[in-house]
This record gives sequence, C-alpha cells and structure tokens, in this order.
Amino acid sequence: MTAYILKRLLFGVPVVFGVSVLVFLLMAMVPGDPALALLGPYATDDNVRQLREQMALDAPLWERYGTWIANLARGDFGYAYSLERPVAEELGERAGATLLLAGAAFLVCVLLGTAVGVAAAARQYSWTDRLLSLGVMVGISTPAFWLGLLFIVVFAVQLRWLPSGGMVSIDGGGSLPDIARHLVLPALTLGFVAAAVVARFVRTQMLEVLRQDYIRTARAKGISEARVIVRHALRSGIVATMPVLGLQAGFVIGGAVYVETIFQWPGLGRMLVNAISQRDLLLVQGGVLVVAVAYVFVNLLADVIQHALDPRLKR
Amino acid sequence: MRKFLRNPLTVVGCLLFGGIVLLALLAPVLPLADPNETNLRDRLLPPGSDGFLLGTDTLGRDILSRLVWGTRISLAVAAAATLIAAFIGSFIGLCAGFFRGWVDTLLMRGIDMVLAFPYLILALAIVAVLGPGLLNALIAIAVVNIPFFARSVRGTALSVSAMPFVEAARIGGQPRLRILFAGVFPNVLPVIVIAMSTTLGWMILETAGLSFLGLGAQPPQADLGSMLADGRKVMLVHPHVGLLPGVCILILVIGINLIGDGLRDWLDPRLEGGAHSAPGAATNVEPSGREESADTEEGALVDVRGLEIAFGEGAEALRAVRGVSFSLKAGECLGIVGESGSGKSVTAMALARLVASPPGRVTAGAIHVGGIDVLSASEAELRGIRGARVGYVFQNPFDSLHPLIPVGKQLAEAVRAHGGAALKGSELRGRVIGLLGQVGIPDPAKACRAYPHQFSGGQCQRIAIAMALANEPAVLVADEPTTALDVTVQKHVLELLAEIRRERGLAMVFISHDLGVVRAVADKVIVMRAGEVVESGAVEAVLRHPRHEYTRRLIASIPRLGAGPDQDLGIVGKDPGGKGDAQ
Repeated sequence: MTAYILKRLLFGVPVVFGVSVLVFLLMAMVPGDPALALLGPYATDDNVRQLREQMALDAPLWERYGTWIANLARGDFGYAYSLERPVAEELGERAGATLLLAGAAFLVCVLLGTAVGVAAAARQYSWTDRLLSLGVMVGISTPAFWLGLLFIVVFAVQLRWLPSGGMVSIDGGGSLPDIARHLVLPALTLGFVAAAVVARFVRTQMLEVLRQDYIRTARAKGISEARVIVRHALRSGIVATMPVLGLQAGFVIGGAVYVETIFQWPGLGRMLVNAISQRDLLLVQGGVLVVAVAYVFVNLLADVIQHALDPRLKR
Repeated sequence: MRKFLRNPLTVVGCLLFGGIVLLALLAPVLPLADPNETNLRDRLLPPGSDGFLLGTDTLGRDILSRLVWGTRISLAVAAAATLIAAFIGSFIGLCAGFFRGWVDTLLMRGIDMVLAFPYLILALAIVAVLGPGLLNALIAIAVVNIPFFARSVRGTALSVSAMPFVEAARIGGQPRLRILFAGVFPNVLPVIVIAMSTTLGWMILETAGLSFLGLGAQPPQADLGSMLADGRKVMLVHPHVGLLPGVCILILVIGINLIGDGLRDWLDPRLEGGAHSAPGAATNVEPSGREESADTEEGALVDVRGLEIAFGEGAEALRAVRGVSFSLKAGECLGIVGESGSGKSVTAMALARLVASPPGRVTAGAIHVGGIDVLSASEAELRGIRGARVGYVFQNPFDSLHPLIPVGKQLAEAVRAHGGAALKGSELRGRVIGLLGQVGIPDPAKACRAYPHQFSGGQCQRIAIAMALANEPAVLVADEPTTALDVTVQKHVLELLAEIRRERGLAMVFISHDLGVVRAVADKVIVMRAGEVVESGAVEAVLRHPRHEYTRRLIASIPRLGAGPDQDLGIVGKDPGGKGDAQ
C-alpha cells in the first residue's frame, strides 16, 4: 500500500510540473505588455519599468519560469496590485473558506448521489426509479447559480430560515453554529447539482453489478435484499465510482465559483472572479495554480482509495 | 430512427429543444417588443401584466422578448463552441488513435495536462488572459471541452484502426490519410455525435455561467446568463427577473439532455438489448399462472408441476421452460440433462425463484419445496428456503464469489443468515474454518482472510460448495458445477460432491450437458430440450433404452474411449421434427 502511494505521488510530480508550465504559459500569453496589463491604465512609466525588472520580463521564457518557480518555492506568489497585498496572504486567507464550502458540498454530493443512485437501481423501472431519474435529469440540467438564487428566494427571503449570504453574521457572528447556518444553503446548492451526476453514474454501476453472478450467489444464501444491495452490490459500486468522485471534486471546485459569488462566500472562487474583472493577473495565476494542484491531489487520493478498496489491485 | 423516437422522453426532449430553437430562429419575425427598448415608467412589472406577458426588468424592458433574443445568443455561442471543440478534439483523438505510437503519447499527454484542471477554473484562466467578452468566453469554453472529444474519439479510433478492413487497407498500401478519413472517420462519427449532444448542454450552462459572472456577454448585449445576473440585483423584491432566465436555461438543457440520452440508446451498440436491466430479488410470478391446489407427491422434498417460464414480453417472449414436472425425495439425486438453452438451468434456478427477473417470469405451474409454496412465498419465506433448505452451487466459481470480500466473511454471512444468527467471534470463526476444512481447503484459518482471486478455480468451487452447505440444506442444486474447471479438477469436485451426499443423505439436483457425468452421480434423470422434458426415468433405464430420438443422439455424443475418430458424435440440437426451437 505504502509503495503504491509513493508510486502515485511520483506520477503526480510530472502532472504538477505540467500544470505549473501551463499556468505560466497562459499568463505569459497575455496580449500586450504584461507589466502594463498588470498595473492598469494609470501606471506611470517608472512603475512599469520597475515591474518589468522585478518580473524579469526581458529574460527568456524558461528563465522566467525558473525564477517564478523558485519564488513559489519560497512562498512568494507575487504581489496582488488590485488588493495591495501579497498574493500568498490573500490565498491563505481565502483557501479555508473554499475548502469548507467545497468539502461540505462534496459530502452532500457523495451521500445524496449514492443514496439516490442506489435507491433507483434497487427498484429499477418502478415509480421510485422513474421519479428519482427524473429528478436526476433535472439536477444535471440545473445551473448552480440559478438554484442558489432560488434557494435564497425561498429559504432566506420567503421562509426566513437561513441567512442569504456571507459566512458570518455581522453582529457578533463567527461562532461555529453561526458559520454552519451560513454554510447550509451554499453547500446544498453546490451539493445538489454535483450529486445528480454521481447519482446517475451510481445507478448505472449498480445495475451493472446487480447482474453479476456473485449477487445471485448472495441471494441464494438467503440474506435480506437490503443486505444484498448494501453489503454486496454497493461495495463494488463504490469502488467503480471512485474515479468519478475524483472528477466530481473538480466540478465542485468549479461550481464553487458561482456559489461563492451568489452567496458572497469569501473564498477563492469569488476572489478569482474579482481578480479577473480587475485584471489582476498575478492573483489569478496564484489562485488557479493552487486550485489545480489541489485538484491533482484529490484525484490522486481517489486513486489510492480505489486501490485500497479493491484487493485484486494489490500486488 | 423509429427506435430513436420510441422513447417518449426523447420525444419530449425533441419538442422542448425544437420549440425553443424555433422560437430563437424566428425571433426577428415574431411580434415581440424591442428587447432593448427601455421604459422607466413600466419598470419591474410582474408577469401577466398588460402588454408584458412575462413582465419587465429593471429598465422596463420586455422580459419575454429579451428571453427569446437572449436564448438566441446563448444557443449560438454554445453551438459554435461545441463545433469548435468537436472539430479540434475529434481531430486530435482520430490522429492519436490512428497513428498510435509517439503521436498518441504526445497528444494524449497534452490532453492530460488540460484535464488536470477543474474545467471551469481553466475556462476562467483563459478568460483572464483574453479579457472578458462573449467571444473570449466562447473560446475558453471550447478549449476546456476539447479533451472530452479527444478522449472519447481516441478510444473508438483505436479499436476501429485495429479492425481487419483497416489493417488490410494499410497493408494494401493505401494512403494513410485516405484510410483515416474514408475508413476510420465514418465509424467514429456516432461517437462524435453522442459527444456533441452531451457537451451542448454543458456549453449552454457554462456560457450562461461565465456571463452570469460578468465575464461573458457585455451590455447592451445580453444572453440568458447575464440576464440572470441582472435579475439578481433585484432578487429580494422581484425574483421573477432573475428566475425566469434560469427556467429558460433549465428547459433548454433538459431538452438537450433528453435528446442526448435518446441518441446514446440509439447509436451506442453496447447498450443494445436492454443490457442495463438488473434482476430483482426474486423471479416474478404472473398471478394468473399460480396454481393453488396443485397436489404434491407424497413425501416429496421438491415437487414441480407444469412449470412454465418465459423471458421477455409479448410476442417476442421466449418460452424457456414449458410444462416441466418432476419431484425429488430425500437423499435422491436427480440429473437434468440437455444442451445450452434447453431450460435446464432455468428450471433449477426457479426452485428458489432465482431466475433473473426481468426478463424472466413464471407464467404457470407450481413449485413446492419442503411443503412451502415457492411461487406464492413472501420474501421472508423465500429467504427461509434459500440457503436453509436449498443450497446452490453455480457454474462459474470465480464469478460466483464476491471479488471484494474475504471468503471467510462470505461464509460467515451464510452461516449467520440462518441457524447461526447468534454466532459471533471465535465461535463463528470456528464454524467457518470447519466448513472450509470439510471441503478440503488446505490451511482453512489462513484461507478465511484470502480473497477469491487468490484461489484456483477448483478451490473457489470448493469454497462455493462449503457456502452452499453452511446451513445443512436438505437439497443441493449444482448447476454445471464442473463445466468451468479443468478435467482433473472436475473429477476431484465430483468426488467431493458424491462424498458429501453419501455422508449427509443429501438430495441433489445435478445439472449437466454431460450424460457421462450424470450417469456417475444421479439416480434418476430428466432430459430437456427446447424447454420441454423429452424423457425421464431412472438413469440406467433411460441410458440403456432411450425412447426419444434426442436422448439417443445425446448418448451417441458421449465420446467413448477407444472408439477412434470414426465415432459419429452426431449433431445434437437439430431436430428434423422441428418442434419450435428455444433459440
């Protein structure tokens, strides 16, 4: 197992390297003078010259990449001009909020998606199945930003059950229950939409598994159907679903951009959108890099978990 | 095409999507208000207002008109992005799959790099570089969807390129590009079409999303996403302004996804024949077929009367078992013989209602096991039969054990399902080890922790036998238990079964296509063909004096040692009388 994890980590190195190159090249491709683009239209010539030197823009591309990576290694992500503070500081402050939101949404996505998929597959062609499949179809087709709006209108404005946005209350908020209350709507919005894809995949997988001979064996033993579904079929279904869960993590991270915008959640997604509007490219660069590297590790984790759950893959 | 439109959901999808597309196309000639005409007096009117069917927005513009025109833009952008992504992605996939080697490696590693990003984040990064705007959003969305096309197309291109006709063209020296476009491409086209139908929905959602974030359509131009963003500002008091464009997106994407599902079912050959049907917990029994008052034979452990089983529905239904009757007393061994498709396994599975259903269903007859009416048994009663009264050993030992559960646990589960429900810890473990020891598994304590793939086929079958016997059932059903095994292993497994039967006085139903094997184990035999019993009786009597032509030919097909190559093995299964084949 340890050997496998090490091997996967080793395979992750070129991917992370590739990601960093891609992010670097993307930002180097900005049309016009990057220094000018970064500083905006009101920069003086002196400002621009200073930044050009600082970013070593006159050096060849590979040298600039080396400098960039070396700086990253020291925790220096550059300076966010739109916020007048270092990028690393801003990232550090916002990463936690996104992690909380994405984690909660992912939990909703996995639990709800699996439950719906299993329930639909266990009673294929029944009304339960049809109703759930219809719900899944609607879920897959729902824009997350619209669902968020709907939730706010219904649960925050009409019913007044939950706050409509932000992460903490203005008056003396910040306690755990307070944050949790603020988390419910954004996490459900993001989780629902992401769950639809998982539910669909789990249903298909479960139907595939339920046709296997070993399910017939389990039934021939005389154990309850619930046990057949949960202990026997779901075990195989989950293993097959792991890679999709890894991909769904990407969907959740992406969807967080919308949800953070709608619910004014102080995370990386909203930061990215603001940074793009402000043309603060160093902030965009840092944000995208952090999110992409995190995503690489999530997929790696999904791989390792799948491996751990399937004894046939052990060598 | 008819198959495509047979699914009502696909028709609904076509109507939704077609209707919206038609509206969008006809926007210039429809009697709609100017979508950009502001009218501050009529701001934020609710839906149903006079002259404004869906109300007005923050600037007093007609929402209905803006929706139609906005849909036009959203659709155009999504369609363009889909075409670009499909063109570039499919080209990459085709080249990678066709040329293989370093071309493949290079292209797919590049694709992997793009896939290492969550796609929306990558789209944001591209928009960040190019700057906000509808055209740039289009480019970003097209780029992030290229990998999807490249991957789907590559897989199919790989398999098509390995087909004989492509190999022949290569060897024949045809120009490679011609093979690629005239030979491989047409076969990959369905995959591209399916992928396009899948991505079009995403593209609509993603374009709208970027516009919603203010990175796509810029005022005064408006698509559905930017209209939603506009509405968000007045959401608390006038939610309809923001919610209506979202409803429009939702309906549009549902339509596209329904069509996409229909296309997949239609064009994807892997899904043919209802491949995604899963059998339920017990075989369905048609209420009309149940025979309440069927008298059972005196003292019979198993009694089957006039059993009829069909697969599928209506006129296409296959009558797999037709009027089969037999009975089994304690300690007896019944052999059921017949070729594949004769209905012998289906008959045996029916004893505990294990016939896959759908597609199978019992249409008539009666089955009694230990006095219980199987066909009208509740789920709990059925569980009392399965494993407790009737144990099953199946044909393929590898597939019949759960690959992800240690065999000890699988055995323990069988023990606990019935008499040993209260057993725990070392007591349970002792039982399991004992069971494994009885069937001749070496070092049973260690074997408990192992998984099925760590055993040979013969050992797996021994484990399966141990599991079937865990609750000392009165009847053991063995469905071709040795067919999947090597000849020498076959012999050992048969010896094990015979030994167990002798020791326990177990009744057995032994299914085989091999009369020689049946002769060795069974007391009486029924011969089945095309779902019917053609002959039955004591084994020796049937084998010595077969009355039916089919039995005679089955007997003739047993290879005899020393008979030499001239022995006429006959062709079983072709009955000149043609009594309606089962297949």
